[in-house]
Amino acid sequence: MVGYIVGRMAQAVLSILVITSIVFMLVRLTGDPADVLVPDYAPPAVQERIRQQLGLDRPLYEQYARYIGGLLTLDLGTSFSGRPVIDVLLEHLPATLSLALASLVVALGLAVPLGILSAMYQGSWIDTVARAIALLGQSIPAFWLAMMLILIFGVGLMWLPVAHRSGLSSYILPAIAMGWAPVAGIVRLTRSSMLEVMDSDYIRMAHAKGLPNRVIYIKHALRNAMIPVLTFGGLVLGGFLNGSVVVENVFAWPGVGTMVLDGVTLRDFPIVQGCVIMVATFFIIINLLVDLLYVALDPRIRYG
Amino acid sequence: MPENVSRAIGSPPPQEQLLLDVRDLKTHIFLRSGVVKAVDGVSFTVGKGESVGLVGESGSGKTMTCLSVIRLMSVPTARIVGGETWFDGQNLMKKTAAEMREYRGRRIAMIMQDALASLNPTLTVGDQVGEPLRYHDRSMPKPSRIKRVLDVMRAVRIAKPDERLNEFPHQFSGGMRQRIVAAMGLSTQPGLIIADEPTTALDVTIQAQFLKLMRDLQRENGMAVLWVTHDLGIVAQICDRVNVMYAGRIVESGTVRRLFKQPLHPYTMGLMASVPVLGAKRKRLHQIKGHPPDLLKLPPGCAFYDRCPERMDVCRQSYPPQVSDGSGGHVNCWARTTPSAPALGQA
Amino acid sequence: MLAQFIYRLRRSPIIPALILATLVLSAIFAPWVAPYPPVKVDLANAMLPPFFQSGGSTAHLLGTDKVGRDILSRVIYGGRVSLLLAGYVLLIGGTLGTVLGLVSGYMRGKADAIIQRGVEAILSLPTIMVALVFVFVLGQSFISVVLILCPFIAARFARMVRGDALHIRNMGYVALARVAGASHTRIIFRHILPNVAGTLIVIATLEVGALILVESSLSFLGVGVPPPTPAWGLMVSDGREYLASKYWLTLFPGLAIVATVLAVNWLGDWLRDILDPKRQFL
Repeated sequence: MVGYIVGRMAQAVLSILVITSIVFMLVRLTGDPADVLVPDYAPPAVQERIRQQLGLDRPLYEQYARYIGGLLTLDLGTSFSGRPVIDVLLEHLPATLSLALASLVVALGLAVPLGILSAMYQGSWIDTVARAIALLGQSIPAFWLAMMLILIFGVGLMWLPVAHRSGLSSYILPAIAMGWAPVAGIVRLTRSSMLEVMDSDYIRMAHAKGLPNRVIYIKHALRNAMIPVLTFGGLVLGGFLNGSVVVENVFAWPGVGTMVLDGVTLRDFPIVQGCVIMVATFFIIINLLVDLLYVALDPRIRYG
Repeated sequence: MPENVSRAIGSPPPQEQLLLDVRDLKTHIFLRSGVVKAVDGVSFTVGKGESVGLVGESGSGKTMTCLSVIRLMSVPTARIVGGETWFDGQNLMKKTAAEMREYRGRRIAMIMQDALASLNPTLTVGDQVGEPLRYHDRSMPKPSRIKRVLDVMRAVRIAKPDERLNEFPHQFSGGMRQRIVAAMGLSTQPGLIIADEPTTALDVTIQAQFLKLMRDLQRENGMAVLWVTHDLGIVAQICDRVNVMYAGRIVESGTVRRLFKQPLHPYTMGLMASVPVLGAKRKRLHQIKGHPPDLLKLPPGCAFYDRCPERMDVCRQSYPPQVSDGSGGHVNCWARTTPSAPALGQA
Repeated sequence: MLAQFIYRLRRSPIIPALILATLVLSAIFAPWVAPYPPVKVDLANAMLPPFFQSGGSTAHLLGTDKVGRDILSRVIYGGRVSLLLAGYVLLIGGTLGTVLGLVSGYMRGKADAIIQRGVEAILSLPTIMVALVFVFVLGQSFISVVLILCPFIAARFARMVRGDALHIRNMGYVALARVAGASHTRIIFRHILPNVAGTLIVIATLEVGALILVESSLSFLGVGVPPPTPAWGLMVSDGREYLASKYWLTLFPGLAIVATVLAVNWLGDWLRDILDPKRQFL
């Protein structure tokens, strides 16, 4: 067991290293940031100065070595704006994390009941409606949904704030916009998981014992059906890092997504590198945690 | 309360001793490819405290019959399309879903085949054994319920039940699991237990122990048991009367003694002959020729026609009528319908 | 009664097929279907509302944008871009992924391990974020967007095809072929590939939807196909500032995206149901 965890972590570190290196190389191919930072009319000497300051005049391998070395001490370099990347990162992280969690709550809160209803009333109109909602959710792009939500609730009805992170109510619209996407997948998974469980012998036994329906579905079926759904939820959380780029943009949310977008626009290498590393690390950690969660939830694996 | 069953063991019970009366039960499964008549006009009875067997190979419809009695379908497109089931003077077909739930687990308990699969792997054994009590008798306080659970677990001979209450199903051996499932059925002291192949997954010694246990409990509690099995050995050990099923219908019924001494239906005769006898000089195992019928394409006449060594033309054309066996049972076979044993018609 | 009707409707693929047919046909025949060239600037008629509102005219059914370009035409041409892009990515990425999956699933051993590792790594990356960075590297163009999305599609195809290949290689006819002395390549292409075809179709329909969403997200952020080529995401982005007042700038391209992806996913669901071997009950 311990061996397994250690092995996975080693794998994770390796993946992070590989991804970092790739990003490192490619980011440097995007062009000279000095061009962006310095106005056109400045003399070449100024551009050279800037390059020197940013350490870009050094040979490639030296820059690489410096960077990797820095990683080990959690020093992700310094942004071209002067601030250490790690600081900027930590500043933006909570916004994205909290939004991701809120979106997960929205996604599960919407999808799991739909999936359960869909399974319980399999084949009836409830099932059809639930799956239609799921299908719709899968088909609406997050950015457009975000804008429509802003239009209806923010501008039209004026109920909710539409930009910036400013208290609990400001989470609502962005969380809906982001949480909507995985609903289809979760509904499908919950439904098929419930159907599979409901077909099992112990559920039939529960019926044969004359237990009330409520007990059968919630106490027996749900417990077993939720295991794959929760693990999927972990992966969904990781996927939100993806959606955050777009949703944060629409809602002017000060999170990591905005950070990456700005970094790319300004050709701020260290910022971009730092973001990608962080995201990759996150994904890997989440995958690891999900695996462990699975083991924790199923008592058979614990004792067997 | 154990009842004094004062009648000749073997003949079907008189009206006031009748517990379960299944009349012409029909259950069909509707598939894309056609209709499967899983249960096609089945009638039998179980008296109070009696031990009745329902014998047949897989696919004969015996499990479907049991599930139909408690109106629990295992397949979404299965439906009871005809017949009646009377339990203790009540017509179960007329009961509402809520009323049926009262019967299930409390007055009629069912033990199913694979004990490991019948138990929820994520719940403790104590929890699951106590469930029928908990939800059928809500007035029972928790300590009494726990005591009752321990009592019934002791009754099924599980050692140190108080220590094992909080363990999970996979921590028990196969034999113990079967006994736990039996305990689940017994806890509410039902009038009838339907045991569907409860010993298939067990090896022979454990099987014998389990059967003895069930017999003892039956005697102590006055319960009736419907034993559903393909194993004639079990029937011989533990049943009073037997019904033989083939392709969704009962083809023969009678007391255990009569059936084993003088099987009447060719299928029953084939089954008896297939059981290897120790010391017998036969060299090859007897096999009933052919294979079980395709339930989607049942013929109008007797379903056993293709495999029957005594078949006649009339067998193919129409279904044989019921003929009495002289001691309360019957057989459906043209070869047994003679002028001196006229057809009985519907029992 | 109504429930029955809706149930039947949901089951049959008529609606999504029709929608898809309309979209594909109008995309192919865009020059004839669209009333105006998508880049025709007409400042005099800028910001016209759709025809059913006051101020609008039937000359511009869905209104015009801030430099007078006809929205309807741009939506139709935008469809062209999206479908073309999706087509290329599916072709290139799908082929690559299928080959990798087949090799990986059939050969197993070292090749499998390496390919598996690569596939997992790609699947664990956040698509949009990475695409964002890469488009900046390769410069913004149609080709670069196609190229950057290919690995993601390839990884998804590879994973599914591998699963199928693993299953099929154990089948009787494969063993027979091997005994008969067929070479690996021959086995892969003659025996395994045809049986994987069904899965391929299903994956393709499922992935197209996601692909279009990613592509429109990228153009929304400004890193998709470069202007002045009309792309739905870009149109939505353009209309941002006027969201409340000139809603049609964002509404119609958005609806186009939703309709397309909905139709594709619906069709994919239907296909999956039909091809599901476990389907036994009515």
